[in-house]
Amino acid sequence: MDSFKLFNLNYDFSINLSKLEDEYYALQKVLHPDKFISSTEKELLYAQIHASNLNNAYNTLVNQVSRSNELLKCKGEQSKESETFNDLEVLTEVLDLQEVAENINCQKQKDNLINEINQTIKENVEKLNNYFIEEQLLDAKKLTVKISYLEKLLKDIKNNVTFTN
Amino acid sequence: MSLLQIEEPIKGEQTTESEKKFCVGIDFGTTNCVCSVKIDGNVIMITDEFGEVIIPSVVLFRDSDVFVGNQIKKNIKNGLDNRIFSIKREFVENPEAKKNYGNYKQKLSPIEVSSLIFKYLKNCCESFLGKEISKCVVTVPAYFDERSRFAIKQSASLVGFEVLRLVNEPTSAAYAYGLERKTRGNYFVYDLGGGTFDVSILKLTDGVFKVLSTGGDPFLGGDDLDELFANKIAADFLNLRFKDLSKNNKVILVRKAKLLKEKLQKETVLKEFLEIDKKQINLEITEKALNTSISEILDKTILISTVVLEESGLKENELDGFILVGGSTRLKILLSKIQERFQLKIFSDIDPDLVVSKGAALHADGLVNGTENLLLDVTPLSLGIETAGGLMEKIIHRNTTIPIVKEQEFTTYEEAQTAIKIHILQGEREMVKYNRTLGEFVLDGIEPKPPGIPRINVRFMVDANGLLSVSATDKSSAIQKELEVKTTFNLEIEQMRTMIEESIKNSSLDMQERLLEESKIDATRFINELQSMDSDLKEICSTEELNKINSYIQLLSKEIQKDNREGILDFLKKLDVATQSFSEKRVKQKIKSALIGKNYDKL
Amino acid sequence: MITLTLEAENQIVRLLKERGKPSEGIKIGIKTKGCSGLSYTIEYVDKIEESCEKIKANGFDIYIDPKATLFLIGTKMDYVEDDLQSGFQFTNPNEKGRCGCGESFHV
Repeated sequence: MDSFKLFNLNYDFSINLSKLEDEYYALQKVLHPDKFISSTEKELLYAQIHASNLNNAYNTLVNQVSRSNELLKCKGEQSKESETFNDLEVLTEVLDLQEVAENINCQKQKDNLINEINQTIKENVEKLNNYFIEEQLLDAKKLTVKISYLEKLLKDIKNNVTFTN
Repeated sequence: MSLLQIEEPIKGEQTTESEKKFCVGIDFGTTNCVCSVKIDGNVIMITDEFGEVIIPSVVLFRDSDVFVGNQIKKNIKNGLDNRIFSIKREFVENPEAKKNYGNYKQKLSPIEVSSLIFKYLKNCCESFLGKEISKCVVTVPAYFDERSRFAIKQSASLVGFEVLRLVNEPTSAAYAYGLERKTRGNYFVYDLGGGTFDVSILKLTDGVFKVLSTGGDPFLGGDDLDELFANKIAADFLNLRFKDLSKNNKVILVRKAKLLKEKLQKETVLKEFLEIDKKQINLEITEKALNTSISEILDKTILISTVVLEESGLKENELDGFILVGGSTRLKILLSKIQERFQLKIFSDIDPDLVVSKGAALHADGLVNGTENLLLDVTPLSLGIETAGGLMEKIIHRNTTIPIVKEQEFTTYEEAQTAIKIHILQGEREMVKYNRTLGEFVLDGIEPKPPGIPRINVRFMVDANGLLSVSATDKSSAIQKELEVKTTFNLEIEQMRTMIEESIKNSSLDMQERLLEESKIDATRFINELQSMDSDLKEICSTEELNKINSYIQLLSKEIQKDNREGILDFLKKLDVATQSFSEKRVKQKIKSALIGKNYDKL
Repeated sequence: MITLTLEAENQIVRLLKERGKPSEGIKIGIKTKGCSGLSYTIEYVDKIEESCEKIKANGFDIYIDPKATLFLIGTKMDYVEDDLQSGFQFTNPNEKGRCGCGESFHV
């Protein structure tokens, strides 16, 4: 069962996060191994796997990139393992940002860059939502890759506490 | 499963009080243990035979007898040097290593010593409640690694306790607060116990307690504060370094320091005598001296708290309160440091020494008698396996909600490799050597294939106790190996401490090493692939081309040995260019025989 | 998401007829109360609950308690009768394959 169905959600990119959370908690309250503490090992294991699936599915939907990928999968637009991403424009944009990131030498620059990337991500997520509404799945797929690059970059910048200069 | 009938829709069958089961909550602390149980809707603190709730985690052997907790203080007057303190700390080092404790004739492991405490606690619970007690919930430091958790569970099982759940201490404390007050919101739990320091950030919603992030230091606690203060006293009044004192004097001084520390919370200056080596020394100690000596450690806890807050994804203004747990949080200096850093409402009205046990009792009751509440905890440290080049590939990241199952596919690295070693690791660093080994096993019988072709599926499963099991399957042959992670190695306490500290600041250093390792892997793989195609090379290439390729291989190998990433990349590129025409021709040949393998993309 | 054997279908139709008052169908749920752990429940339905998923069967409706959904996917409901006892039972032939667990997991 896909993550959207599991939480009774429509196949839309824009989801109600608090409704998702409610569904998630309601299901966990029933399926969590804590509720099967005196059951047989098999049932406990079963509960454990279900609870784990719920955790995985919830995390998939909370994160924008994995939610988009899951939605693409549900709509039959799954990316294949062998597929390589070669949109030069996107790659250049990300590489440029990466270069800026490598040359950061003070906290202020770091904060500014983080803000800038956050803003770019936000704009792109809005665009992504529109692609899904318009059913432009190939564009959505491409944009998802771009957002995932940006998120990765953001994480790297945040984690890198030492400055090169 | 038994056969079912269609029932009439009747709602609301209630379990009667007499059918209810007892399951005790145990806070097995480094310095003290506290047991409690929920009866008729209230949490009752369980007392020992002296009417005490707080039972020191201390063991003493005397002839053939074992004394535990308050029994020692009440019954034994001399020979107290052989008392065994803070056994829980040794779980983080190696819970299975046998050594001599006090005057006991046999060597014991920390698991065995702890089981003596569990045995005593079980007796206390049984005589207090007047019935046999076999089920319990035990709390553990949130930052305890997988091995220590397993060992604690084992230790309780040795004396007939069925541990229904291991609960993280801060989560347990929050549970006590949340249930009694029906609180909703986001809470910061700061738990400075006798031997460990933990922080967790929890989100409370309609009875669900979800941990967002957790962190801490398993070697930092009130005991360290006492020792630092003792250091200061030794320097100021004995003109000695603490570490130069005899073992016996160290114990005396630390006990004195602990006592003074408590008294200094009410007074600013104290005049006391210290009797050491039959000499009386006058002490005049100020609150300021205490504060200076322990400030650094307290600042460190605040720093860890800040990092954990960041990892939760919440901003400070989204938090609704700061819950204080553990006896050490009674320190005035700590409170002011916390208030200086976090402008949050402080919760400390449940006795910080009892709150963890209370939460455990509530959870224990919920497990056996049913509850609308739910605890969703996380893994404190990342889990993964070693991949080529001594790198750790994380499979489950820290702060992932448990239980969790994750699978990942790996492949072979050498031509015709038939076995793969699964080395299971816990920690945050990029390089294997900085992380902790949890166990390892070998999956063999893999069909010999070119590198990159076999598909080895590795599955990690962490249960609701935070305990890990791992299995690996060769997808083509369905050969399977599995391992429940056990305790199989030694790691020095200092190593572990450095590991934690460095994980915070060394991520960029790791990156350099990782880049180097990756370039080495790429280069080695390339060389191996070329060598495995030796006959093809000879067939397709001209002698001139062949000589060029071979000399580049030699030069590249030298750079690999020198750990020179620049050089590796340079010759890798040259080798790539030199083999280009060969690859093209070879691929064309292969296309002819309709056998394009995926790994040729790399050539 | 759930299949019924012919025996189960026939027995449910018979029981619904014999119940003595009109029913909306049957409801399948799971019971997790107390420490009995997981067990399926089957009840007559007097009042339809919105949250339940409705499945049309041969001559009656089955309502699935949303809490039970995950446990019921791919199960087969059967009715068994022998000398000693009779009743319904759920079997899950895909269990091993579906959750990918089989014997490989430890608890």
